[in-house]
Amino acid sequence: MKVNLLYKNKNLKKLKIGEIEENLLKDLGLSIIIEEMSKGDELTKEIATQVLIQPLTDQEEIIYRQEIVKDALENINLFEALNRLADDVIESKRKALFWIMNKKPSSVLFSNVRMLEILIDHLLELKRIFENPGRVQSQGLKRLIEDTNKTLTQDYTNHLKQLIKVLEFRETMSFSAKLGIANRLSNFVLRLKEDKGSFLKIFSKDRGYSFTIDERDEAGFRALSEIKDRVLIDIAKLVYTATMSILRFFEILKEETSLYIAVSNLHKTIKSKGYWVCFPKINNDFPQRHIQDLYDLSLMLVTNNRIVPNDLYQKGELTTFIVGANQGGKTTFLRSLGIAQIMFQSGLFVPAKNFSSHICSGIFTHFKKEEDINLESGKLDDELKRMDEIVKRVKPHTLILQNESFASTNEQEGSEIATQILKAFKENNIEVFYVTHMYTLAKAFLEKQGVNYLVVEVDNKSMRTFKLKPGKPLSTSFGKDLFYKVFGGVT
Amino acid sequence: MAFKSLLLATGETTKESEDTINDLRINLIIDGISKLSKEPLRDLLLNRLTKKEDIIYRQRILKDIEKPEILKILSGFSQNLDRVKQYIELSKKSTFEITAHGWHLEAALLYIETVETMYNSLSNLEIESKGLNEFVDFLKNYTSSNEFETLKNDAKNVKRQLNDITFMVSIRENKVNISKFNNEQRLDEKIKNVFSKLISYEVEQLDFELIESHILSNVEERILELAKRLDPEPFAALSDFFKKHRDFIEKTIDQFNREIQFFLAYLNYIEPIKRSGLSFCFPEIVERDNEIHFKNSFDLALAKQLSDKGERVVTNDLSINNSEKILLVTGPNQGGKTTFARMIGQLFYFASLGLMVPGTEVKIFLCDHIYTHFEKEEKVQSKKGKLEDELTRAKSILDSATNRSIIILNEIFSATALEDAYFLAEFVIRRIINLGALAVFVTFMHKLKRIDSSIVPLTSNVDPKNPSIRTFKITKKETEGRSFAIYLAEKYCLTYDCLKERLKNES
Repeated sequence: MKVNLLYKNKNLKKLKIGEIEENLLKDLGLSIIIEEMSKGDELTKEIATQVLIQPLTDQEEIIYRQEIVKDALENINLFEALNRLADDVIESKRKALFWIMNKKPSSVLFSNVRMLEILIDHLLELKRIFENPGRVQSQGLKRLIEDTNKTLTQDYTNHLKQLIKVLEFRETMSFSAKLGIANRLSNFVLRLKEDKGSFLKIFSKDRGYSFTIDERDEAGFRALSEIKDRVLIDIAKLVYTATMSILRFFEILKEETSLYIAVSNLHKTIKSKGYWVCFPKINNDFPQRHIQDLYDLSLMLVTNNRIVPNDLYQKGELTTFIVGANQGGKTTFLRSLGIAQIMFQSGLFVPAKNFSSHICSGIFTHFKKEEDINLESGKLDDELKRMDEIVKRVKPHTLILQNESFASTNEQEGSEIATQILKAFKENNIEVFYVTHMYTLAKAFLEKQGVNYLVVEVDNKSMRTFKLKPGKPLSTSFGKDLFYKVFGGVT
Repeated sequence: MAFKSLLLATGETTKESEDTINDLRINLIIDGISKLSKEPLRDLLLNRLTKKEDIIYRQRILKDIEKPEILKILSGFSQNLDRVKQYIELSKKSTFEITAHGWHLEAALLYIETVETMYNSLSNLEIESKGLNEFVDFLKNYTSSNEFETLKNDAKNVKRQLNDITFMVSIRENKVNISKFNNEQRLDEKIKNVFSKLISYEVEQLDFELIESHILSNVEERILELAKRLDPEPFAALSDFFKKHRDFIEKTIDQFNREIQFFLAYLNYIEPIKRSGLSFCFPEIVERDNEIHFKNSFDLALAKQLSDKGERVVTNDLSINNSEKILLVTGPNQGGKTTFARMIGQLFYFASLGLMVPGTEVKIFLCDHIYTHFEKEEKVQSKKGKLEDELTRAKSILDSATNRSIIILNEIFSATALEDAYFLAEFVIRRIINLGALAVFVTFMHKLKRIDSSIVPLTSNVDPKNPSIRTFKITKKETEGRSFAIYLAEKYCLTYDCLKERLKNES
């Protein structure tokens, strides 16, 4: 019996959040979205983070999760009930003071048998919840319900309860033994000796030989319990494993339902702010995207200003340059694409009215870092180092979002480096969206196949509309505009 | 020929001074090898062979032992014999008879199996060395002797009887009952069947640290005594076996075990280094006048240290003909010069122990002595005092060295005024040339190469792309410069050409 609500056949791995992941979370503003989802709950925050930094690359897995998200949006009560039950289990584990780790098999057995009794009650409660689950359309939930019913039959639970009684060893404990190395007692096998409570019968003279340990012989009692420990070692391990496995089940149930509750939270917030979402469709051609009214979700969550959405039509272009006036929405667009692609590949809805895309084998960001602007000499080195780390993990169909990369050196050198890297990426089917003001770089690809340019739209009054339109790079940036805006209209 | 020894055919040996052993880090290597054996190996490792035939005798044995199939057999033999001895110790220490006799029987059983396995496996293999072949002949006679047969039959018979015993133990509170076994129903399997269904996640497994003391508790002894009362015959047979076969280890087997430790410990020592991709070979011992050379060789002590950390040392090659007497090693600091000098000393040293040496091909002569003079990191001492020491040491080396000696001088006279240093170094070099000894001179004074045509200049190299990176290769090469941005991109392998290759490999 496994939870498997995040993947068809495995659990969420908890990856170490390295520099690459930290950059991704920060560059795209994913942390803001995660905050909104988890509403301050640390566990939910962790799970949401892990889900978002491990995008799915398998079509079936994406659909599997989408279905469960849809169930959660329709039937959050079920998820909340499961979450509370899992909470109860975790709480009883915490309260179980007797459940202290002890290195002796007999005491491990004793304490785990007691814990097991509690856990079985909770398993039966799980079964009761599933008797009346409400709307369930996803194969993930259907399978979990079926598994639960199949495992916990009446017959089986009765059997289990009986054995638990036996393992309390309130009566005599009997086992067979053989002689092992140097005649040590060995090959212990726990056995049932017909006793019927008449303990005198076993210990009567005609049944072999007996001895009694003196009440004051402490060493003797210790030795006796050592022998018991050796007899019970395998059974203690087994019962321990069973207990831990059930606890693990509930821990995972807690984690996985927390994610779906968080997704439902996010959905409510988006709706309440008057924005839209849709469930994405998967394109099998690469690279191919068709996106309508895409907006930057993390920006939306922190601003009350109305956000200008953008469209993206992409068919076959591996390299896209985003160019044009400063503060014209280039970075916002780059971010909104990254967020949507990650949410799509996490099996969630996306912040757009229409969204179809191919699946990327990985998603990375390489953004200019503002904070170390002073360390000019080390900055290019740092940028190259970050790119090197990304290259170690790229595969064909990886998406790399670059924001003013290699702008830390002069345009000549920065363009030179970037051109070489982009050329190699393009030849190896690695997809790039690159926000840049380096005309030398953008120009270098003008005559190439499979290159797209998105340009900040400027209306006839030189005002930015925050819309991006297909176009060609111009040799000057619009920094001049800002200069005039700040210093007034000096000509 | 009866088997005599694996280590010495004739028996003459010589030693190096403590300075040499320490300067070349041979002391570290010897410590490392000694730790891998229970038998004392220090003396063997400190005594160099002086005759070529003795070296070849050992080399041939080691060539046999090094073959994986033979190595496996001998390591297994040696480990098992160690265990046999442990069992005998346990038997001697035990005061409870059933246990004492029990360990003695286990020791005998393991001994029989160990000797038989070794003979059976060795007799099927091609063995080339005289020493090992004589030992296999000995094994053949021994395993078919009456003495061995009786030991074997008796031991197996007693063990069979003991193995057949099964009995029941019941415990309730402070009462323990021992009774005959009547095929009572198993409880463990039933538990396993039912509980396994609850396990669907891989969780941390519990590992009990039960301290299995070899001394039995009073309770266990009482249980065994009662089991003996239930079924006395096997225990009587055990007691008879003990009396009849008190000391069963043959003394030649014991000696052989001690001697193979020398080879096994060395092979164990170099194994992780070999696994890291470095090679060892049997050096060819040539006459003094021949060309000598080595390929892919390295400092054994450093290689060991690095392989422990999962790193690999850089290897070096060199050929020297008869007219080349002085190897003048110069180049940037920390560039591997001293390591290179040590390596040469070590090659001569380990070759004369009859062992394999670092490299893929080594041709070397049998030197009479290795003299070293390494700059000492002295405490507080005046320059004058230090120089005087250095000169005294240099003189004593020059007085005893011959044309068959190796002299390794590392940064000597470096604390002296440059003019003096050149003068003294030139003097020492001329003396060495007159002696005809082979010398390695590690120094910053690269102009010394002008003194004589028999001086071979060597340089420790740096990475041409980044002069701050040492390659640890000792050869001759020039460096070149690069522009900053592209040099940085190259450093991370992010230029077009380099990146293309990387991506090709990753897809």
